Amino acid sequence: MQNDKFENRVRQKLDELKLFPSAVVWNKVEASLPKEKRRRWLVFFLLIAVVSTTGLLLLNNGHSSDKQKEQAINTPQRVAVPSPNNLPVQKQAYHTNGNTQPANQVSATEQIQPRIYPTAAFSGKLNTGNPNKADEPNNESNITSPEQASLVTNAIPAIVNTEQQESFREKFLKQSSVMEYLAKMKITIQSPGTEEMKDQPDEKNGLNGKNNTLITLAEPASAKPGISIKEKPDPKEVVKTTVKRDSLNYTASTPDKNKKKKERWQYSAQFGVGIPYTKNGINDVVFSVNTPSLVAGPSYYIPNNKPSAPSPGKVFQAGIIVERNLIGGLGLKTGLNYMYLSNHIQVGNKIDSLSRNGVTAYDNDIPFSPNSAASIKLYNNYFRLLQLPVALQYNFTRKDKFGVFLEAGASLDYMFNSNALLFDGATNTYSTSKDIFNRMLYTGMAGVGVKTAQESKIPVALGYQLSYGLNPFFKNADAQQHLPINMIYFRLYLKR
Amino acid sequence: MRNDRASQKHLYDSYKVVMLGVCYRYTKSIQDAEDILQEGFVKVFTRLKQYKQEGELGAWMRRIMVTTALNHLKKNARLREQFTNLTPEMHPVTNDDPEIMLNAKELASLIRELPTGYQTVFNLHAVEGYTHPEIGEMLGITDSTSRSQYTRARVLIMNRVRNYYFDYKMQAHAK
Repeated sequence: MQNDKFENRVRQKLDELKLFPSAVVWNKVEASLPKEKRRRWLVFFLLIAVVSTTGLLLLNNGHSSDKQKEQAINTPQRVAVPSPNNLPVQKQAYHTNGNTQPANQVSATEQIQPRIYPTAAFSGKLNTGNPNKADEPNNESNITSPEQASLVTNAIPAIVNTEQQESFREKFLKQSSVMEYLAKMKITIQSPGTEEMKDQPDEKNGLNGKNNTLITLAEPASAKPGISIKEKPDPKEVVKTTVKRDSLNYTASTPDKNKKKKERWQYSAQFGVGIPYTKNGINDVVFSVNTPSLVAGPSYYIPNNKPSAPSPGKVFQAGIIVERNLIGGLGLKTGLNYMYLSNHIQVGNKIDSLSRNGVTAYDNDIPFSPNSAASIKLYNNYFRLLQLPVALQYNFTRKDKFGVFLEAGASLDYMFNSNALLFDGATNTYSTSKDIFNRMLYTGMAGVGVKTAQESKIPVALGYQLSYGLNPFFKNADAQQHLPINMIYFRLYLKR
Repeated sequence: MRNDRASQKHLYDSYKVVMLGVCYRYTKSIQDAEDILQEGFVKVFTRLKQYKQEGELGAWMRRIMVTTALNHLKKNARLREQFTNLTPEMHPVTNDDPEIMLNAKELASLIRELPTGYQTVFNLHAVEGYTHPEIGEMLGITDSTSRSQYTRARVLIMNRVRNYYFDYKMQAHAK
């Protein structure tokens, strides 16, 4: 009975024994086991990235096809384009002077020579209500390019003679260059029967600064045929107008001022550089303790060997960012980034016996051999990550030349590669271990930046970002690490 | 779990500390203990289907570790040498039951300082709870050899524990 008591005590004591194997052991175990499809997380992550990117591209393509149907132009508020019902009869030609000739005597394109007097070129000389005066050419016309003038003068009859030249008219309206030209010249096309604009030229101020022109297509035969040109004096009324094709009819609409502007995704390539700050040190990890003899007494659990303190390395980031405005100045940003970050530690000589097993290992004789400085090497620990950031962006001044914006959000990261060394206090060595890392990391980030206006020839953004790794690299709870990163980035917008 | 590396790693992390303690008692160095631990876990993962879930998984793994440790000793021919070159030294038999003032690590180190034959039999009987016929079968020795080996090992350990206890008391008295 007494004997059993001793054995029980021994057993209880030995149950308290806690020894931590070095990280190398698991590597060896894993190397002896059948290969596993270890890439499944990476595949899953890439799948999410591909699906998100494809979705965004499809969404954008939807916008593009809409864009083909919609010619967004800057024109005066009131725009009307003739519909087949109120357009002139086929082969009936109209002169701007109001005279009508039989259509079978001359073709419309030959006969009709509408005068286009855009913008301030009229300078009050044009009596808009008098077709005879309107017939006078204006030598000061702003149509400086012969191609532009030819384009418009050929295009207007095509609109008029819609039944015969339906396809041409369709093409005409789809030509963004034409519409942009009209918009640039602030020409309004108004169909017959449309209520005339009541605004008249301001005699006092002339037409300077009120560069809007209204072209009213003539009424069919019975009415006054011709094209009259009027000025619309209120430049404040210039708003975005969309012309849509609906079956055979072209209808024009002026957007409701209260209607929300349709936003589009903006693509940019982002490049960043920075410095990682390792609070606890990637290598400040003790997985096992020393095993001194009994002579050493109860202090055995205090590791005698200390790893070298890591010094900050560098951060490099490159990726594709997509962003869009949601409401007001608030926007959404996401994308896919590749990030490389590193730090440096001092190690001793390479341990060949471990290296033969596929493990990179170095000893750590630094604390005990101060004179052996020649054997000390600087080792670069690196970590390679794929990041899927999602952030909210607030733009303070969107229309200024330089707009300030704030960003804050989170990032789902996947660490796909690392050569980092881990310190083992028991053997006083550094070695690599693939499986002590958390592959999935969660990062919070915030930043501030400036970007050029959307109308800039080369829209760019420059910003500062502070990110903070919320999840430690290491699975071992004793080896937690915080990972703040200071980074400056540059975005080159590919499409805005 | 057989080829699910994440689950295997989880199982390894859950039992590595306990199992290394088991391996540690049968060896003379931590490196040997880690070699046995590695080999033992490979066996655990490859033979996991053989686990009937009748007993505790930890106990099943422990048996594998012990078997692996014994194979390791046999492979290195240390064990056979220890049993064949036994000196018929006599140890005083004591019935005292000394207080074990050592901590776990010190006690394990004390056991490891025994000759390999004593160390192995003591571990198998006192710690793992195997009977002498079972130990004889495992080590390829007779029951009586196992019993005598254990008796001697036990006396040696008790004496060392007692000495440590005495030193401890002396030091406390000096303070």
